[in-house]
Amino acid sequence: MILEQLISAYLDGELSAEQDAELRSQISSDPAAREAFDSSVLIHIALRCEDDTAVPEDLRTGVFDAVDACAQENVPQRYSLRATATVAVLLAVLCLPIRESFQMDGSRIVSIERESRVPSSSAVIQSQVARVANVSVVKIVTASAEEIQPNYFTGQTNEEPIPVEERFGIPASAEVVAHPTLASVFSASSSLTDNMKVLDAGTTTRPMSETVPTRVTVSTMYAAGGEMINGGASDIRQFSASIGYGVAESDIVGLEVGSTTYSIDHQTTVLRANGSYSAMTTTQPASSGVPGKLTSPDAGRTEYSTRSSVLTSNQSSAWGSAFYERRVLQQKGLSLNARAGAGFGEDGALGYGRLQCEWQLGGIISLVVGGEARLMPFRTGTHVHKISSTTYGTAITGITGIHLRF
Amino acid sequence: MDGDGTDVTIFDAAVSTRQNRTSTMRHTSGHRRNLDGDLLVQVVASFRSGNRDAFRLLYDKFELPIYRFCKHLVGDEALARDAFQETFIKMYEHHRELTSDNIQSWLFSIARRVSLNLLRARRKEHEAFDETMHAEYEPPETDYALREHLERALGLLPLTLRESLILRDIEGHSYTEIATIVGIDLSLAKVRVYRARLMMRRILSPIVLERSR
Repeated sequence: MILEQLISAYLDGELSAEQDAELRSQISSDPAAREAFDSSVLIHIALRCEDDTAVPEDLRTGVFDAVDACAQENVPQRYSLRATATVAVLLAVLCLPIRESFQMDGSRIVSIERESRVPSSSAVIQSQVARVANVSVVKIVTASAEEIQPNYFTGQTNEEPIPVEERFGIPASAEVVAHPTLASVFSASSSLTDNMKVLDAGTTTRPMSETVPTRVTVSTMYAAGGEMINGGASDIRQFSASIGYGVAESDIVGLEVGSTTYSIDHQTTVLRANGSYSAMTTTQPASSGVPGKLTSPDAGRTEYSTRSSVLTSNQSSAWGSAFYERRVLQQKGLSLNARAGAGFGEDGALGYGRLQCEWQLGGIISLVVGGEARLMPFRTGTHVHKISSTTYGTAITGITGIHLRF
Repeated sequence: MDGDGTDVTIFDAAVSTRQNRTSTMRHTSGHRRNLDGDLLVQVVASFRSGNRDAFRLLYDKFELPIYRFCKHLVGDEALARDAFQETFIKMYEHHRELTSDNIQSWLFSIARRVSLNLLRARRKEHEAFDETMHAEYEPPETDYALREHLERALGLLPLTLRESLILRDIEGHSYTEIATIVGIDLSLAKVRVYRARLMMRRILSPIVLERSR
């Protein structure tokens, strides 16, 4: 290595034994090399020892004020984004088209949905009459047939019969007690088999109402005894209220709002500063002609003491979500429903899946029991009652509640 | 945190436990140590989540090295103040971007970028910005303190050599840290420090040798 490289390696403390010997040899035999070495070492020491830089006192206040202002600015943005997202979810749900469906509440016909694919003039008349009627329904008639009809638009005959079904109610004031023939419901050429089904509105409205899709549901749910999987939260409790709209016979979409409370342990470390700064120092090489070893300067020290403690705290978080619910099974007064929802809470996005068993108590009231798995953010870090960090976890809870179906 | 014994909560995180909980406080024994090692890791983790007290602790630890670095790099008191303030403000604004525990390198890289941007902005107003500019140093006739000679010599170094020399010989960073802060590879970091030391010796050799006699 050349002299400058040996000197630089010496200043870094990276000389090997052979390189150290070579440097000593050059210094001792060459006065110019000695001067280069001495000046390099003196400059190296002076760069640290001669530095008396001090931070101006006013800079601290300016930095802290700017940081506090920055922290204040960030908070509203976070909540406005969530608020905007929540409003967007609400608007999307409210704008979903709701299909009118046949509904009979035991006293009047609300509307009739035509299920036939091919328009039938007589059936249209029957439906229109039933739609405007506001009378008690004695019977609900389902007429099924297979029609061979020319296509309404193209005029061509269908190759295979098309199954059609018409459902209408017979008012109590009707003079004709016997049910109409299929021919009176559909076109004259349609009837191949007469498989008219007649259901009494009185005693048999229960089976009919079970297949009648619900227009509106309102429910309140309570969950308790939940645990966080692989996490530190426990005693998860939840209260929610929801409103839903029937979009199909077995499908409901709606909105749910609620609050989730849980207990979580926090480890708090308190730091106490003691002591004072000391100036940096360094040692100079020996002046005897033999290169001395450079030693690291003592760093300024501030002493700290710590105390750690574990506290259990209760956290509560409000949330809102949109959900889709589907009836999976139906058996007399019992039904099994599956609900999936997604939304936002105070701490971030969340999602859940729920399986609930619904027992119709009577009329519009149902009792619900089930379970839920929920992916949500948990407050794993807080500082002076403010959220400093959150961690996503899955909470499993049992749920109970009341449904009202209109 | 000026040594007056004020308590600051710097770490508050959930403890995963499934045993029966009681609302009792469990204390660990306190111990004395510097803000480094595991304690620094805790403070950095707390800072990452936006904890302002953790930020103040880190400010106390790094305010002198950062100010010294900015001052030597830009060579101007007013510009150094601006660079210093902007460094720590950016440090807090981008706290979520701190992905590793090496906050020192991250902070110095911010200080470097801020200082160079301020230098470029100022030099655009006055003269062309030339990072390779250097000149022969003629010692003034008046008796300057050695410190002033050192500062003037540092100011004569090209920026690329100056920043590496400051980080190595004044701030005491390793070559690996210098490479990380400046964004170069390890061998180039060593070459820059070597060339900077050589230039400083050529500039200051007559002065330091005369003073040492």
